[in-house]
Amino acid sequence: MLTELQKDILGEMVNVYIGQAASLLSEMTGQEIRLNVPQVLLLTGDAIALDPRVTDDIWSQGHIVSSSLRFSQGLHGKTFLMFPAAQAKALVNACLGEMELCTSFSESRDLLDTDFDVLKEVANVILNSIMGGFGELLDTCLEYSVPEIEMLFAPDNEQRQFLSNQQNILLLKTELFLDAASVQGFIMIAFSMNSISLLLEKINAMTEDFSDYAG
Amino acid sequence: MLAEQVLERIDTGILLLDSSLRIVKCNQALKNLADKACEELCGKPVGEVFPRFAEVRYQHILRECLERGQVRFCSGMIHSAFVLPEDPLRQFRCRQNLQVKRLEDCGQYYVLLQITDISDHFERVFHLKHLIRDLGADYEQARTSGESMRKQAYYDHLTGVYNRAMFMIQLRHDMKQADRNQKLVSVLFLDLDAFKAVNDTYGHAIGDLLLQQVAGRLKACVRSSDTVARFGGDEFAIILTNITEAENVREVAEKIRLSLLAPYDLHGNSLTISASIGFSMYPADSQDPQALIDLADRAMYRVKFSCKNNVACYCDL
Repeated sequence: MLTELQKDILGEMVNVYIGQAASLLSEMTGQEIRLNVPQVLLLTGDAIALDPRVTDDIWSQGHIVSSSLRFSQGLHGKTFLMFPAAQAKALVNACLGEMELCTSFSESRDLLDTDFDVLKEVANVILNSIMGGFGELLDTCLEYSVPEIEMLFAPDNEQRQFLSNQQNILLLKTELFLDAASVQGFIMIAFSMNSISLLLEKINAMTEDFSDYAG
Repeated sequence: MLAEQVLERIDTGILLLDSSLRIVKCNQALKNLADKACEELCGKPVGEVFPRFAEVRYQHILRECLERGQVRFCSGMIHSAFVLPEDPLRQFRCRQNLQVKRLEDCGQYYVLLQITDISDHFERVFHLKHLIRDLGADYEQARTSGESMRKQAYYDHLTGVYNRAMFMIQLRHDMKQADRNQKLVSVLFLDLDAFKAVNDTYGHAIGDLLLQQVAGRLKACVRSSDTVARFGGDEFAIILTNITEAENVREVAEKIRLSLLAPYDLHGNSLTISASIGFSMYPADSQDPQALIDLADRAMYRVKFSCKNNVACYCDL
């Protein structure tokens, strides 16, 4: 569990990392994109599968598109960017400047192969920024896997099983604001036990520095 | 060597760059994409041969990969293409996905670029999206024309209020609703006095304008739950719902009569006109919708042939 101060520090850091991703995405798509992480949660073990903030917020919206990449070496784990399918479609259309398709077919959740490519890249940019930021924070190198993307739909019991397989999840609620759309998603970073300890140690060292400075 | 054969046979274009971003190796698929021979490529900075990679953002991606090991995927839907063929026509439709990955050998870092041609796929998607857009436009046209036909079927084209057909549908509905709520319904029949003289004196254009303004005033006098319709010529009918006693109807009819009496400004012509109004009550006067209209019409005619500019209830006859 995170203290309020740890949450604040993590939130601040993630928002800086994600700000860099936003400017890259803006440059790529030629439109202003703002990214925001208003909520940071750290959940561990069985609590993950039972926590309504995870199960309700992430899974309650039917099909979701999940982009993921593994990281290893200095830190170990897997990070996911997840969007409900309809939001993912809106995001793709906005990135490609095809908002008219968005409005005419707002009910459509059918994603083409090329849409998955766009989402894969968006996720790649965002997740690289965050993990690169954490790597820099811990002064360590990371080995990244090739990003993967999949459409998920799991009944309730399988959702819990999926979640309980993750040992420690850093959950970042994410908001993307584009010129013509606002899209909500989630970043989940599943850390190994050792990695989360490293990260928390670093955060604690920062809070001590902060206390010394304040004192 | 087998590995060399595999590299040459795969469909993905491969470029291997050294730490100074010079091309160390490429395969046949890459040469096909670029229409270039191997000697034109190897040893040269990638940004010199393929100008896209000289752009700051791609230099940044390549550097991030080299220095921090970051894997990057770039979609051809966003970036178009990285390795362009000589033929301008092929360039136009060219779309490529790019994957950037770091390799290490004997302590040296390399950047592996994998370029997949998705031009054919892009073209199919492009046509599919246009098809969807066209279908959307066709659907919108059909919907608008359906809406316009519905308007023609149920609305009076001159004044925009309901026509007789819609008035009958609404009246049946309101009668059923009144039964459920144990309320009364009233039908008002209204005829403008001496409207023919307006047409004869000022012309039909002014007459039409007057009818439009009359319809506007009628709508302003009743609630949104009530119904105003034009039956043709200078005849209008109104349904008042949720009535508890006939006296309430008389008050509304009187309000309408007075509202219509106020002068009209019709393209600079100021004129006044009065109306004769008759009304009937459901369920007291009849339980048949057409009969209710006929009885209100009869009450209106009683006013018309006596004093005009007045209100009468069928029950007064």
